Order: sequence, then C-alpha cells, then structure tokens
Amino acid sequence: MKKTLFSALLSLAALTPTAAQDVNYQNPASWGGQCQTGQSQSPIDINGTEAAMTHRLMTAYSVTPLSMADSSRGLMQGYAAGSYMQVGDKKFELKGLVFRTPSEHSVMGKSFPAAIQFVHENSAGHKAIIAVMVAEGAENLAAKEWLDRLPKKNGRSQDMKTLLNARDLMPFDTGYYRYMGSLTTPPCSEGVNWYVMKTPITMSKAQISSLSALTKGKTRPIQRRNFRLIIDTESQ
Amino acid sequence: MRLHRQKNALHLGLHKLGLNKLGLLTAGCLTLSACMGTSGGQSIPLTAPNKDLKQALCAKSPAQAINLLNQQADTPANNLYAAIAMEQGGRLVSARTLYQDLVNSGAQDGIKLTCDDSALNLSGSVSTIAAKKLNQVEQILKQHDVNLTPRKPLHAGLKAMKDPAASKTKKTAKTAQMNEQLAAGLKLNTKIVMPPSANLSGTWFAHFASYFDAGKATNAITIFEKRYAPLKGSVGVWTVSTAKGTVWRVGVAANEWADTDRLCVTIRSRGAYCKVIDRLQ
Repeated sequence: MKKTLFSALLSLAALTPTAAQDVNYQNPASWGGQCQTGQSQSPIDINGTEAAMTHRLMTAYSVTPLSMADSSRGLMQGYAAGSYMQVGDKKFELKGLVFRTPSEHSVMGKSFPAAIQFVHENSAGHKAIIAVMVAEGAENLAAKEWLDRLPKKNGRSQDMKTLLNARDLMPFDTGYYRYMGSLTTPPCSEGVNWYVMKTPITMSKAQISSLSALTKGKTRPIQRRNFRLIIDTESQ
Repeated sequence: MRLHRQKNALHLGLHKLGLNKLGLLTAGCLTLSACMGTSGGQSIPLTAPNKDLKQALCAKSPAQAINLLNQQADTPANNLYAAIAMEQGGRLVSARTLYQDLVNSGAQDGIKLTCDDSALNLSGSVSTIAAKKLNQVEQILKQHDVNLTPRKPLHAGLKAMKDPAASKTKKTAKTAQMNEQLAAGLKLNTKIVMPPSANLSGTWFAHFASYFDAGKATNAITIFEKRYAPLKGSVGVWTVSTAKGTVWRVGVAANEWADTDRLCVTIRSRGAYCKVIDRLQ
C-alpha cells in the first residue's frame, strides 16, 4: 500500500512539473517552453463568463492514507487508484491534490486565501483539474485530521492510519466555471480541462496559516485569457 | 444591442440588405463575376463587409467589430459577422444562438470574407456558412461539457379524477379540503396559455388536426379558437404537400420548441391530440 501511494505521488508529480526540475516562483517569466509561448495558459481571472446548461460534475472519491510531499512545486497529496470524477461521458481518475496559498485563479479579480487543486487524468492522458477555493471562515473538520501531520519544508509525510477523503474537501454545491487551460507549473502543458468550483469551502485562519507556512508564494501569476470561452454552469 | 435578434428581424433585414448590397459590392469586389457564389446549385452574388469591419474581423478584434456592426443595418450578413465576432471574443454560447437563428431563417444572402489567415476566409450564403459555424461552435461547447440537448419541461401529470374509494369511506372535512386544494392545483396545469414566442411563421408547430380540404381547415380554426380561447389569433394553417396530396395542418406555430411542447402537454392533459412538429424537417 505504501508503495502504491508513493507511486501515486510520483505520478502526481509527473502531472505537474518534471520531478527533477525545481520551479522558480521568484521569476515565473523565466519558465520556458509553453509557459512562455502558450496561448491557453492557466491560471486566469474568471470573468466575462457565459451561462450554459452543462453536464453535472460528479465525483466518486474514496479515502486514501496521508502521503504528502512538499517541494519547490508545492504541497501535494498523492491519491491511491480508484477515485474518479465524471462529467457527461468523460471520466478521469484522481491522481492527487495540490494545495496553494493564495489561490492561483481569481474570480472577478478576487483571489482566495487558499485553493485545493484536484488533479485528474484519464487513460488517454487527458487532464482535468478541479480547483476548490478556500475562504476564511469556520474550521474545516476534515482538514483538521491531517493538518497537524503536514510534512516539514521539502519533506515528506506518510501515515497509513491517517485517512484523507477528497470528497470532504469538495463543496456541496458542484456548480463550476469551465474553461480550457494548462498546468500551472512547467512544462505548462495545455489542453487541461479546468473546473473552478463556484462555491468555496472554508478553513479557519489558523488552518490556512498552517498550509501557508509551506506553500506561500508557490503560485503562478494570472495569465492572459486570450478571448477564451469560460462557461458558467447551470446543471440540468 | 442587436445580439439576440429574432428570426422576424432577420427576414426584414433581407429587404434592407437589397439596398445596401450594391454599395458593399463595389467596396468588396472588383468585378461582379468574381463575386458570385452558389447556393442550392444556383449562383448568388457575394458581398464583402466594408473595409473597417473586414479589418476588425480579420484582426480578430471582436469588440471593434461589434462596435462597427452596431452602427450598421440589421441584415442577415451583419448578423453573421456579429456571430463571428462573438465567437472570436469567446462568446460561443451567444454566437451559437445567432448561428441557429440564421440557419433557421434560411437567409440566402451571399457573403465573402477574405483574410490573410485563410482559416477566417468565408464564401457562400449566410445560412450555409452559419450552419458550418454552428457545427464547429457546438463541437467546442461539447468539449466544455455543455449539454446541447434542450431542457424539456415536466409533463402535466395525470388528470384529477374521482377517487373510486371515496364513496366507500367517509372523508373528514380536512381531507376533503386537502383534496379540493390538490385538484385545484392540478387544474392549474391544464390551463391553456398563449405560447410567449407564438409566431405564425415560427419553426415549431403545435399540431391539432389535419384536413384534405382548405375550407374544413378554416372552419377548424374557428372551432379550435373557441375551444382554446387564449390561443385566439394564433391558430393557423400550415399547408404541406404529401404523397396523398395537399394537407392543411391546423395548429399554433412558435419560435421556441419549449413553448409549443408546453402547449401540447397541456392540451394532451385535457385528453385531446397535440403533437410538436419541426417545420424545417
């Protein structure tokens, strides 16, 4: 099981930047390749959306043991196989969670103190990321169980007894903003299906501070939208 | 704002375009023969957008294009350019509505847009180009998980009727009152209302009955307008050629499928026949 989780973490790392490459958040302009030349980059500010009837976003997440790693790329939690998201006839497997403070996306110019990115991939290698905004408010009971077991800086934390369920970190209302973007870390590959949840979850100030101690500053600046379509969902 | 024009407006625009066409022809084409296209096997004159509009569309400056279009006549060609500009601006849902309206209008005005980027080049009738664009836009919307199937309203449910067991059991005053309230609620569902988008030349047709005789069809209009009083003035005849000869269909036409469907559901809940027919098929 430990080995499986470790490979899940590696696979998650492979979905963001290459494992060997440190990400320089001090100077994102120095990121090369698609990060510089791409026309559909993420994150973006969500505004000027178009309302449309969309397929419902459904998730079937199960628990996974705590397996977190902190690096220059951010704080990540690997996820064991068998958890999925589905929208219409598209199905993606959850590979892991990435924690950001503050949020990378903003809505109408407003960013959130934190965000959790649920990174998914399907068998064809297509990626889908659900971004859940975190607002400061009531203590998050689900997060309370693992927040005191966060790894040290650039360290790793594993505890088979501490279970984490991605479902508990999703808002009850699954309305979302939908657009096509990219990974937010090098190589910034495009063609990523982004689902930015409209409803934030809450964490207490202390909980956000705990995350922030590890992840602060590891966020990519807002990218140009370039007239991309942003769907504002109304589920049928 | 001209962005959500009705089909009627598009039809009216056809007449306006006739006056505008020559001016556009001289601006966009060097010779008339170079500006001919085909539609349904027939040759049609192609008009180009004016210089500024062409520049805005080719440069993918949607805001500029929309500004220019807002100062121009309401024509099918201009509606098509507006849809293209909206598509370029990432407003694909709005563009889809405009393309749909243009396809339904069947506008045969010819347009020609030539840009350095050949992907933007367009030539042909407005409705043909709109149909192609509609297909492309819908593919993108599907990729974005948009559900393109129209939302169907709920049916009216079963009619209220006397409970056979009611005569055998003694109802309390409270349950009797509740049943009355329930029946009143159900009765509301069977109230006929004029479809908001009712239009004698609408695409969707709530079909009540068919006749092989024009006179009988005309009489039927009077009968149906008496039976369904709120529909007075909107019950019309749609003449169709079939293998059995000419058929006069009587019913109510509307622009929106949902409106005709709602009407038919109500009529069927009264036990009468009603079927929604797409007049473009």
